[in-house]
Parts: sequence; C-alpha cells; structure tokens
Amino acid sequence: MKFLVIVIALFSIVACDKVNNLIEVPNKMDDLNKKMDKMTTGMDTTNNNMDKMVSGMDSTVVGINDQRVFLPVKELMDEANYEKLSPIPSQLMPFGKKLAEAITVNDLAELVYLWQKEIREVNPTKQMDKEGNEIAYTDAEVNRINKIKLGRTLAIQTVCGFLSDEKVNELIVTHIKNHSRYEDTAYEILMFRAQFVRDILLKESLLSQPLSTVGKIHQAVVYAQQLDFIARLPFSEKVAYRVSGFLAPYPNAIEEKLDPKMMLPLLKKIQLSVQQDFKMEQQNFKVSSSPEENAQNQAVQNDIYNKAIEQLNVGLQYWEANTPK
Amino acid sequence: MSLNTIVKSIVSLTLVASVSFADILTKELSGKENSGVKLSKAASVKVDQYNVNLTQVASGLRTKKVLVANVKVYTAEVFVSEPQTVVKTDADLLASVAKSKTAVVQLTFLRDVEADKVQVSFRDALVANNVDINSAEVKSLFAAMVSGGEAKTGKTLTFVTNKNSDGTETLYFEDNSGKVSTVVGKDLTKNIFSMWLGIPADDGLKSLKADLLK
Repeated sequence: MKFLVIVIALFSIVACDKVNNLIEVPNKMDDLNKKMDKMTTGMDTTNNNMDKMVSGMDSTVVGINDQRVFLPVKELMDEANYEKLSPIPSQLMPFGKKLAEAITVNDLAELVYLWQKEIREVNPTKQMDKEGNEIAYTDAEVNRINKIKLGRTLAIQTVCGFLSDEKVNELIVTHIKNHSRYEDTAYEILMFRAQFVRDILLKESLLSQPLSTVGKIHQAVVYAQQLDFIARLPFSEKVAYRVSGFLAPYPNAIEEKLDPKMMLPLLKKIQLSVQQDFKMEQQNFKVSSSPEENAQNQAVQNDIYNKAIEQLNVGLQYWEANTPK
Repeated sequence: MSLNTIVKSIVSLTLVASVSFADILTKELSGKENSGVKLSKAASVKVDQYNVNLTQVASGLRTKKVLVANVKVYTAEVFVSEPQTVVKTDADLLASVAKSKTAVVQLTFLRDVEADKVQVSFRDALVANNVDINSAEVKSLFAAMVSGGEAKTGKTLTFVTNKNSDGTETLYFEDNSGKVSTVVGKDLTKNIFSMWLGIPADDGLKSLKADLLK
C-alpha cells in the first residue's frame, strides 16, 4: 500500500505541476527546485523498489502487482487521456479495466478516497498582482482545471465499473459489513460502478443496438444482474456519490443516488430487444466442417440463451413485484 | 419464396416508395440558434403536388445523459400548417399538433449516430407511448431509417405527415442523404410524433419536451 501511496503522491505532484504550468511563474529557481524535488522523490522511489527486490519472494510478487497497478494509474492520471471523455471515456476504459483487475479492494478504497479529496480540495496556486492580491483564473484555466477534475472522476468510475463480482463482494464485507474507515467510500464505489455498468456498458453499448446474438444477450443479462445485485442490497438507499470541487460555471458538485426503479425499465428493454431483434434460426452455428461439432455448438448456445432468458425472467418477476411506486 | 414473404413484399412495396432526393422542406430562418443550429420561423413543404406553408411552433434540444455529461444529440423543430390549433400543455401538445392537416418534425443532428442506434432509440420512444412497433407502418419507417444509414452531424432527418381525404395520413420520411420514403396509414402524426410530443421515454426527451412547450 505504501508503494501505491507513493505512486499516487508522485503522480499527483506531476498532475498538479501540469495544472500549475497554466500559470506562468517566471522564476527559474522555483523551477529548478521543483525539478530537484522530483529527482529526490524519484531516487527515493528507486531505493524503495530496490529494497523490495532484495527482500525475498513475497516482495517480488508485491513488486509485480504494484507494476500492474502503477502503469494503469499513470495512464488514468494522464491529462492526455482526458481529451475524449464524452459520450464515453474511451481513452480511460482500457486502463480502468487493467487497474480493476490488478488493484486490491483496500487499495481501491484508498485510491478513490484520495482522488476524491484531490478533486474536492486541490487547485493550482493563483497568480498574484503587484499588490499581492490573487488574480482570478482565466476561462481557459477554469476549463482545464474542470476537465482534469472530470477526467479524474471518470477514471474512478471506469475502475469501479470493471471490478469483478468477487471484488465487489469483498468490498462489501471489508468496508461496509465491518464498518471500516472507508465505509462511506465503499457506498460511493458501488454507485460509481452501478452508473458505469448502466450508462456505458449497457445503455451506450449493448442496449443502444439490437441484441441480435446469444453473446450480446448473455452479456446484457450479466450486466443487468450486476445492477440487480446492488439494487437489492439491504443498504441500497445509502449507495450514492457526491464529487465536489468543480469551479464555476460548472455545478460545484456531481451527485448520483441509486434508484432501484431503474431496474424494471432496463430489464424490459432487454426483453423487448430479445423479442424484436433475436432470431435463433438466424444464428450461425456452422463454425466447423464437422456436423457433430456444429450440433454441439448449437446446443451450447441454446443452453446459454435459455439460462440468460430464465435469469432475465427471474429479474423481471422480482422487479414487477418490488419496484417502489 | 413463401406466400408469407410474397405478401410481406407486396405490403412493403405499397407502404414504402422512394419519391425524391431533394430537400423536402424549404425553410425561412428566424435568426435564432439552438446549439449552433439555425432555427426557422416558417417553412414550406411540397405534398400532393401542392406547396403547403408551415409555421414553426416549437423547438428544443435532445440531450442524453451519459455518466456525468449531458450529451447533445439533436435539435428538433416542429412545424404545422395550422399554428392556431397548437396547445402548449404537456397533455395537449401531441393531440393539437395532430389536428393540423400537415405537420413536420425535423431533427438536426449534433453528432454522428449509427442507424440502428437511432432506430433503437426511436423504438424505445414509441414503446413508451404504447405505439405498436410491429405495425406495418412502423416497420416500414424503421426499414427506411436503417437503409438511410447513420445520422450525420449537421444533417437532418425530416418527418412530414399529411392528412389524406380518405382518412389516412401519409408520412414522408427524408433521411440525411435527402432520400424521401412514404408510408401510408392511420393516425401517423399521433403515433410517430409521440416520440417527441408524447410521453417522454427518458430524461433527455423529457427535457426536449419541456423546450417544445416553451
């Protein structure tokens, strides 16, 4: 974890510098000092890594794991990847997925907490006039600061969205059931995840086009079940996030609260698309020259389809009966 | 070819016919803009060999919330031949526009949207308004939309409805390449225009309808 904190601190420094570069401070000594600071920090990091390398097999494993965390964190914090945030944060998604696979639940909770704190509280130092009064940010500076804050928010969202079900369960046990110091962050992680799965993986991807193959139907139901899981949690009313710290004219805060009422229309939309767009007889089961293999392939696909439809119907029945009025 | 296929083909040929490749709507600009789109105050459309004069009665912006951003999708403008009949209340907007002999909804896209995405989105809007999406008219319209390809930034999709003397209505759909297809059926204004003027299928359409009611 210490390594992760160092990584985050390092990149926060770099990111802050990037923002600070907006405001030209013609002080070469300051620049030099900053460079020296970076070099010293870099040396410390190298020494830490060296220490880890020589401290046995466990540390090596930790080192590999850290590297898997380090690289996607670096990319998720890189402003260059914030150029295409809308309608989907396409440049962040590959790194969000990598980080979701590599990061531990404890590290994720700390990372999300730290990034939110940074978004909320950290702004570049304002320039001063001759009398020592702060000069307000220009429109261009405000836009850039907000873009970085928005990019960081969406970076959090992609990681949470791509977490495995196992990690979500672990998050709930570790931080919510055990009432850890990051309990509130865990509710936020669940909301970030729910929104990402609903808006990006379902609405903007699978459900924006016809569910015309077994694979699309299966995946849509898998995502719907991930949402269903969160919506049915006994503490679902606490699942929400609030990210504040944006500068005017942006709204100061972005907020989202889980609404279990989303489930029924979502499941009905999947059902409608299956009814309208999927034809089993139009599926391609001729995947090899062997008729037996093709028959087997068809049987497997039929099974996947039937299970998905069964799970969809279970969800529909539940939310038909339990959707809040 | 099965009998069913032949019947379907005949029905399809009767309902949809490509009639032209020109701008169906001639617009008179108002000097106002919405999200960079120049809005009109009036327009004329050629139906049944006659030019029909239309008045723009409403305009608005269709957005879609994705994660934290409201993404701009298109601006919509509504034109009618009898503007005095339009009632700008939530409950009456659709029915009052449907009273006009000729009515138009024109969408000017602010981003590229793939054809099947447009179709799925329109289908959701029709379902929200209890319109039969398996009717021959809707299927014909969707077929024309898909064949028209993706909605391109700056291009328009135009829906013109005109009442016929036999009680039916003709829907002229112009895709973004200027190709016009026609569909004949009953209550087409009420059914097809419900996508924008009826029960909103999502928050973005709700916001659009609020704009249209202003």
